[in-house]
Amino acid sequence: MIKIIAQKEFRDILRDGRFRWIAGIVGILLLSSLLAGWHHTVSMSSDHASAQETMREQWLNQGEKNPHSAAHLGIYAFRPIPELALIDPGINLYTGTTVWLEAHYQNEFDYRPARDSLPVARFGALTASVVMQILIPLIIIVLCFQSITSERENGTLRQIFATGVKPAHFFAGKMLGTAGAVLLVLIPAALAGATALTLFSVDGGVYFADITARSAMMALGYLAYFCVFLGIAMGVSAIAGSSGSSLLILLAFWVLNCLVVPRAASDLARSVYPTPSGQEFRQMVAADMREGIDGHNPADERMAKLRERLFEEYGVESIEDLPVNFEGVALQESENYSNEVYNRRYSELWIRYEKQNRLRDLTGIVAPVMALRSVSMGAAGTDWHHHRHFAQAAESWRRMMVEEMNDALIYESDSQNYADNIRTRELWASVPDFDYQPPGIGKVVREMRFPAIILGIWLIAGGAFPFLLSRRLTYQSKL
Amino acid sequence: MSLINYEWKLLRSGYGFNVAIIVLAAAGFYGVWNGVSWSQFQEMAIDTALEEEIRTYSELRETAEQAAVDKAADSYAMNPGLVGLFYSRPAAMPPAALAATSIGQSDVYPYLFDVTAHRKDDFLHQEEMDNPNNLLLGRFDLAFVVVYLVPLFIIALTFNIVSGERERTTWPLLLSQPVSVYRLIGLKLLLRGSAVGGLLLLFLVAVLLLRGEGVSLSLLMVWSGSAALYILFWLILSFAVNVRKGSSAANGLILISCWIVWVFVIPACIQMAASTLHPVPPRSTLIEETRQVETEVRVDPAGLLEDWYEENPEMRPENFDPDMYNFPLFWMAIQEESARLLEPLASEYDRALESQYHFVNSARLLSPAVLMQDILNELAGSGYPRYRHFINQVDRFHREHIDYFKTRTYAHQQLRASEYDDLPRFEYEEEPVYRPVKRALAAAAGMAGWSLILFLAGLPFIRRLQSLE
Repeated sequence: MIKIIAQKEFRDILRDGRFRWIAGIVGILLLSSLLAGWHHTVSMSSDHASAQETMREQWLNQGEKNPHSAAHLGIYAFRPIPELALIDPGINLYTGTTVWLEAHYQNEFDYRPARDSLPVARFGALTASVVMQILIPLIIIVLCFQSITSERENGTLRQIFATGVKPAHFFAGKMLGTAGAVLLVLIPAALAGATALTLFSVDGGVYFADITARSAMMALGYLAYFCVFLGIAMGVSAIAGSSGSSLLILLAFWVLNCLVVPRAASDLARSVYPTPSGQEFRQMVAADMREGIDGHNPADERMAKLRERLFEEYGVESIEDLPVNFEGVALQESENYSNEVYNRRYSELWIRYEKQNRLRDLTGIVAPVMALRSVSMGAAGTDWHHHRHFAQAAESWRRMMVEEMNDALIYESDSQNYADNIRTRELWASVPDFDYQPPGIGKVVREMRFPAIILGIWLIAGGAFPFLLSRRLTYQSKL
Repeated sequence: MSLINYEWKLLRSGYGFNVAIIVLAAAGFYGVWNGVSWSQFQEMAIDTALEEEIRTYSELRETAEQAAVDKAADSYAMNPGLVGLFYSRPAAMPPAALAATSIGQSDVYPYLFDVTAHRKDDFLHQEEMDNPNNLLLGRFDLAFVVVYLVPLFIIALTFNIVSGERERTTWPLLLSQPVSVYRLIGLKLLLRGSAVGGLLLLFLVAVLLLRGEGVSLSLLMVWSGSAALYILFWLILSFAVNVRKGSSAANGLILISCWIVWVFVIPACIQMAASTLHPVPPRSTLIEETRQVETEVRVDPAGLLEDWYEENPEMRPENFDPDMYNFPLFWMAIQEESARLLEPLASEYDRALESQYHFVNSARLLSPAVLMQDILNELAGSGYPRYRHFINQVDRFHREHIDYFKTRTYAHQQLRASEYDDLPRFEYEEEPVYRPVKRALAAAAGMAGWSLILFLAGLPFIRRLQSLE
């Protein structure tokens, strides 16, 4: 019986001109967004990979110079663009694309792509994730809002139940039929997405070794989300007094879910966990450097203490008598100190960001799209956790490179004179290339467990909703 | 008048209208509060920068004074090259008078730079810090309420203005009344639109009460007029759909589809087209080229200086020794030369964005939502034109800053303590009000055009209102 109802529902939907129009338009938008996403991902990915190679060449071919000068040249680390960004570019538009890794400074990421665009971009990019998060639920609503109400308004509901069909089977059939129609829109897009991902692996190798697992995680997330809307739409259609009110209620939920809660959550997160302005942050760092962390050990005192310590350690009374290069030692001490400052300030900032993110995830209790967003971006590798992971890897490389340069200066110098301590390509080549390894799926799943649980709860609630109502639905009831 | 009273009572009697108004009011005041908070945040950041500037330059001046007393000729505070290159001057664009009404791009476009005598791109990439997730989701400001939510409320209040009467079988009763049905429908639409419009005016008043300094009357009039025009557009759309005499559900579906197309789909397509037709070159190219140029230019900074002294022999110091390493002098010469060589590439980015702007300026006619957002951004000063106006001023100040310190550095002059009062400082000059007003009015004309088109589209069907069916 479920199968018969499902087939009937499926046929009715296909015959409906509205579905053909809407599905056609959304299908085209989905395919276009995938194509645009693929083109953008391929070109950015290729640019970044090529730029990273150039950085290495420039580092190796920088000529002969003092190691500290080399440390100031440093390299730029370009954030890699994972393949699944073609579906969900996540926060990539709003994080800088590159960071300068040089001595003394843990620089901020530069060149947000969003800055190279106009205010119209704030209406939202046409990406596959946006189409699936916003427009597919709308299709589901359009298909379901009068699924039960129209039967009631046409007087056919009583007739159906009079045949002995169980309400639960009736709902199941309706939902399956609708799901089939929605899949007609999604399957071509899924095939296109899979083809694009395959092309990546043919062209230049995939960024994520576990791309299959990530793709599956993303697909499951979206399927769960669609099922939530299917269940809610069917349930509302069952309890609404008319098709008009059913549509109104569902659209209100859709607006709340897709539009209002995301923005309100963002501003709420900022209010509850405010972060300093860029100016304040840079000044806090500068003050720490100048005056010492917690106001102790200002820079001059640190330098004087270092000189005393070295004199005592090596039993000398002047810098010229030291068996190590004083400037190199001072530079490394300064780096150690500044690293402490940056560790403190950046971790304070990032903890705030993560509290904001957690609060935002919590609003998924009200709006399932918030939970889905985190799962989708996490699977795609375009969320905050992946950005932070890259930033930390880049910073680790920077500190290693600077320490190598300072060690060369400290232990391999013939003179205390800066100009005399020249090194060659041999030293530059001894620093390993910056070779970033993204986090594995296990770490991603751990970071995503909170929003995934919320999405799971929505799936259970949304799926159960129409079936709980079905107990009240009989041919004699006013439902 | 009694008809208005009657219709108003009828409207108020249904819980739907009351709920809608309360929800819209809550959303609007929340949007106002967010906009005000952001403006205050920007002002605090600018004040922090200015306080730091005062502190830094006071210290420098004191150091220079002490160095003069101690006759310490090599004091950093007396070295114009070191001061110009390594002690920045803030260049800030304060929030405009109506900034709280629309955050626009002001959280993405920088409003504060630390200008030094380094190359422009050294500080131009400076950006405000924010959680990228927050930026991605956008802001819940008054502009969001106006552009996105107001149409939804209007749709919710008017989608069944004719169909509802028919479905409740009161339509024949209405037609039998000694009142023109056109007048009645027009009154229903007008009352609902006025309620929403009245709320928007209240929001504007709230903004003025909280941050009303320096707001010109012309800005207020254009803001109010544009909001009214936007409401009128959605009312006329609702009218054009209602006169088709479809069911409430069908009306709702058509109206929400129009909303989706104009608020989501068309703007996203415009952005996609703009970035495809006028792509901004990848920043990786700029970085690679910059490092290459810098490496080449660093080979012979003394040679660069010699070339400059040949063109400006009166500036050549008597004691200039090209073999003697002079870091600030050489570094300044390197910055100048590499800026000159990189200028063509750097300009490509500005040109691409300008091209996108001109394209979007035309394409936005396809969407009243984009037009309205642009109007609100213009009046709030959070759009692209005001940002460009700021960047142009930063460019000019940067040039002035470089010239001041370069002249003294190249001439081996010292910076005296008394000269600290005359050092160039950035003073932002606001655009004359008529410019954003003019740009906003151009967009408003586009919206008026849409309203006319829709009204004319609905006219052939208007006779249907007379039918009992």
